[in-house]
Amino acid sequence: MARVAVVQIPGVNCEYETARALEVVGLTARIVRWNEPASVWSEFDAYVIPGGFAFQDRIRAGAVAAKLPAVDRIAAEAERGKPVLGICNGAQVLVEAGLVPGLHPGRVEMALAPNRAPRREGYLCRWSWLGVTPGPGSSWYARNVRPGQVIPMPIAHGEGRFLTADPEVQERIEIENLVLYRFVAPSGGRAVRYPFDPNGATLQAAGITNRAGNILAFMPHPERATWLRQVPLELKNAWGESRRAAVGNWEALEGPGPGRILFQSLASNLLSPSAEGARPGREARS
Amino acid sequence: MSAVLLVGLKITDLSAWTALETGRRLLEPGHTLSRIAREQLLLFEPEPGGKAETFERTLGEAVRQSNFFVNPNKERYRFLTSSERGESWSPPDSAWGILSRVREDTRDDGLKARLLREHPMPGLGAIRRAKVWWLWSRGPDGTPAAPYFRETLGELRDQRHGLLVNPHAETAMLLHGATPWSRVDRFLIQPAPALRAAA
Amino acid sequence: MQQLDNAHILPLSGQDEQALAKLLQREGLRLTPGEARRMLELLGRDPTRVEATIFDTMWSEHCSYKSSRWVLKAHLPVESPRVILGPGEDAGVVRLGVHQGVEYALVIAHESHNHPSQVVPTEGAATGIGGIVRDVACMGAEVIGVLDALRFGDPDGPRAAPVREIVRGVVDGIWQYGDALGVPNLGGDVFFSPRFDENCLVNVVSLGLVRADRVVRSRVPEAASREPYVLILVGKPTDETGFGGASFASAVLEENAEGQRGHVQVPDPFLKRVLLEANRAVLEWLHHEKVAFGFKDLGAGGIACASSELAAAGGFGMDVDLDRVPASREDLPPEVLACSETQERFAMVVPERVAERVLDFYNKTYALPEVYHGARAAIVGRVRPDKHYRILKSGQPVGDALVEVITAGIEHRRAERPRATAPPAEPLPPVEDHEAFFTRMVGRPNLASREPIFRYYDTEVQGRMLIRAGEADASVLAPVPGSKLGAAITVDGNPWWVAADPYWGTAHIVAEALRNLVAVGSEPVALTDCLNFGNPEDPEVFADFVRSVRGLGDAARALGPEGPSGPPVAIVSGNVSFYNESRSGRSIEPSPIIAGLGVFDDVSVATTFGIKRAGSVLVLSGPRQDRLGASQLRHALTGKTDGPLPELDFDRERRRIHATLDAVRSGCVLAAHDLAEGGLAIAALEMALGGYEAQGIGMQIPISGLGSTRPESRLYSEAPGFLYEVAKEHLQQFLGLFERWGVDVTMTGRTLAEPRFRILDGGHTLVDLDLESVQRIHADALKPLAE
Repeated sequence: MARVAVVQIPGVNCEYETARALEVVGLTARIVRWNEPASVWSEFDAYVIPGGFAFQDRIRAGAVAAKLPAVDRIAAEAERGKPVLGICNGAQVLVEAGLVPGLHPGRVEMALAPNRAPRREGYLCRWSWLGVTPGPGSSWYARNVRPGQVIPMPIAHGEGRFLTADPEVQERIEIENLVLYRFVAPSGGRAVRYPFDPNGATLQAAGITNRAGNILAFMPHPERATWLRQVPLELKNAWGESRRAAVGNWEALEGPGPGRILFQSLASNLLSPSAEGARPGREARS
Repeated sequence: MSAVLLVGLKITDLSAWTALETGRRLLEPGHTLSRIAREQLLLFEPEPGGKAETFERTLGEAVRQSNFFVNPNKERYRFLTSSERGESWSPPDSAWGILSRVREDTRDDGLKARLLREHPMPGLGAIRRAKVWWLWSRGPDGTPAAPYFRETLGELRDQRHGLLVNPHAETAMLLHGATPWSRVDRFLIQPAPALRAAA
Repeated sequence: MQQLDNAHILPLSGQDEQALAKLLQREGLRLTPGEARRMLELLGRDPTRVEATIFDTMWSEHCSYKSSRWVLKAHLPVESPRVILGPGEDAGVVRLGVHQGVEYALVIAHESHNHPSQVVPTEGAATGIGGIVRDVACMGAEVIGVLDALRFGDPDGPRAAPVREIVRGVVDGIWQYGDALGVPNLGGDVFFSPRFDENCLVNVVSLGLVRADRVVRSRVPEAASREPYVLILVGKPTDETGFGGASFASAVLEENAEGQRGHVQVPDPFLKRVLLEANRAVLEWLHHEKVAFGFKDLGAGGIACASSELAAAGGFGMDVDLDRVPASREDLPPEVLACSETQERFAMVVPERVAERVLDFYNKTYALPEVYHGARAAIVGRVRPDKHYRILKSGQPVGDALVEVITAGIEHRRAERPRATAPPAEPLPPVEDHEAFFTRMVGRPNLASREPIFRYYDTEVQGRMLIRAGEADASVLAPVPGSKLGAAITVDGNPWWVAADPYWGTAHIVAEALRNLVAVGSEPVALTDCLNFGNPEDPEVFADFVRSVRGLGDAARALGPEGPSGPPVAIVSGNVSFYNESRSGRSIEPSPIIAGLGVFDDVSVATTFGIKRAGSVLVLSGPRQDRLGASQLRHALTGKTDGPLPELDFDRERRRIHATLDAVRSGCVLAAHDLAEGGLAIAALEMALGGYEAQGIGMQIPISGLGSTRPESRLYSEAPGFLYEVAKEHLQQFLGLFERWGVDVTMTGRTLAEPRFRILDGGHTLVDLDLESVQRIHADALKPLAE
């Protein structure tokens, strides 16, 4: 059994569906409030900071939550090799806490800035297309993704633009393949324009990991694409075809959607670690 | 010379309140923070070679009467025409400030286009945005100890240092004592300086 | 009994009409002199300021339905086997179905927030969402969606600039509140017409999910006769925002809206989210401990109205101690503390023995005071076994009356004068170049894609969504995780139809709502209404209102599966908004807005309106008519919206609706789309473009022989009907099914492998366009409004 903490910071609003998505891949999820006793945090094998508006995005998205003692404790567990996934607002928290990209661990090396697209400011909710570039995060978060595979998932954010003002950081995340997920065109090619590039992020980044690959700051919402029923019928892709073919078939609709691959990847590592060999921190836990 | 609008909340500013609560936890013993306030700054430039006097009266009306800038239910404002703002900008009593802007172009062309649609004002150039945090602080020696507080609460470096400004998206300047408006204008207009590589 | 302090008394008695009117105005009260005298009669003495403010709020049109109640009671069907709770509380409750032995219900509420949105669009619209969500939450439900029906002025007319600012502000308010709250947007509609230039409409609908055995009532429970009960107030500290809001909503907007901005409340979705989480824990615990309790949101009239209604509904009295109300400032006068409409608050009555435990949930577990300045839960009152309702300040009563005096209500019988019969509408000029005209129609504000607006709304949060706004005629979701039970929801209204004919226009809207529900395959189970009209003291406006309500009631009875002899599609909740008019006194177009709720036993059958494959057959039901009054066509050609509406035959329409439901449920339809604004031409185009992405499948539609004489009518008639995409292999089954219902259908065309949109009439090609180019016009037309 692997236990995952879904961190409920005030203002977070995706904790229930995120917990359900973790449960459906065989993990045991518990929603843990930000102010629960310090001792609870070490009990878990993995941590997910879900989407929402932690502390109302006061000061900046993720800025206040990044300073919470709970995030300190999760950072310490990540140091021991446990996986930490930040989805949307959770990604903003991880970047503001200096955990991603973490070239110099603890140092803040990026921002998640307001979306930038021609004549389209503000919050944007729509399905987008993702591609994977293998990197240190592959085994935790993109196992079983085929080369060239295009994965549709919805985004819903106003501040999703990964950005660094430090040219060295820019270079390292590129060379070291820390941009695990990026926005692509439906064909899988580079996303050169809105809406395929929805927010103007550097390197079209949708998800960036740390060097160890166990921490992922991910802007799209895999928990909103974990069941086939969540996929729009008219998505122009094999997923849309599967969705249309499943009209009238509830069992098929309750089957996997495109985003489940990310949770499955996490689960297969947590549930059968032998397949991946020893993970750092595993000994410390047992 | 440009006109300036400063808008703050008259209801509780939760960002400022949380900044105060969170900021206090970052301080070393002997340092105290009694208050933080926040204002949005809008700079209204005249067109090149023009004067703000040509549009300030209309602009003042728009500030008072429309929903473009101020919601009187929850906000208060100070509108300073080019002559009213004077040579320099002084912080509120015994406070000092951190002025921040995005690293990209600070112009808000969308706001300008919408404003002109309803309130034609010939001569208005760019509208630029920035944000100011006012701090009331005291170090162990009884002075405001602005350098220490800026280091601790200003530009974000790591989980223990910095809060109000993420230097990868924003850049900041200190407002300590009377700051010439010309410096403020330059800070808003010129491209953001390269990020100093962290030590 | 303690004496009322003279300092708090308003000396109203013994004044003549004129002096009384002046006095009321000086005190900021909107009570009429007649109403004030009625209040004096009920109280038997002069009121305190607090009492006068309570009556002012409770007797506002917004809260009292003083003009409308008898009309609604006389005409609207509110009961059916599906209904658990009809109108009367904050929201209606309808059965959904049973999953794993537990019966679930849907909760629905519908309201307007028009005047605040006109004056301060962003806060006004956001507060609308915030308020309707509370109405659903206080029934004990989880809030699973919101919708918004918006009516704006002419974005290209003489007041284009302010109209566009209002559009933008309202859209901002909706997304800023809803997205942060974590409640998905389930759609809505937008209509532009010059008569909304100075009075926009923002109607909001909220949907909730609750276990049928855990519906919470807004009243002191009967158990309060056996043990002491206290009143807990939770949420934002009380401040002066929104003081007088209900009366403001019930008055005509004044010349200078500037001065009215202070009546608009200040919403906060973050605090609402935290409160909903804490409520979830508290309610779960109370249910688990089998504690009887009452729960109510604070809306119009604030603490005074919520507490007196809780008490009155249970048949008890109450003492409310204003000194114990957490407030933003110490110097707030008692009437502000008691009646301000500060947002993000709830009231709960629980036994005294569990009160500390409840407070701990809010103040410690969810740490309200740490996450929001000044927020907390506090005990602010005590239930009395008698029916005395008292408000105390510094130990002194500032209000003291029997609850039934406060909640007695008031009624006005308004005069009706039907409008003079309009002169016959001028004939329509013919369309010369159909292709150019069609291209223009596609980009008209009332027909263009709404996507530039709804991309700001979070449609995905909570993970329950199957079909989103813009993909089909109704949104579809699976409310109960793991269960194939489904719900569909739509909101509809067409002010031009109702202005042309209040009775039939409203009936058409009901029919459209039901068509939208069955087009996705859901069984219609309930309706809600928000009736937006002008000044009810104007006999013509009131006559419109009465006829509209009759049309609503008759359609709801006639269009149930068995017709008028069987159960109706019940109207379970609603709201009336009067005094919507411009500064010059011109009323808005009468605007009943109807939400429809449908359910599925198996939601997997749900389908969208986008065409699915090349080579299938397009089938039309509902003959086209030459009656083109109030249509988008008429407006495009003449600038007018008069003329006769298409005929609506209730019995035929009922059979068409239920045949369509059977067809979608049985899987013999690939796509179904209701014909409404813009008629067949626009519906067909929407099907070709699809909701999310065009599939690159074209269509060819021959329109000869569709029941009307002119090609314009065949293309743009807004007569009721559907267009279906049917796979060839299902055609026989489909036709047989319609035959059994006795509904005529016509094969109208086919889908094409090439991306062309083609309309043929006899030997002529009227329209032959590349799908991508017409898609761009459709998709981009509203972009400048939403940027």
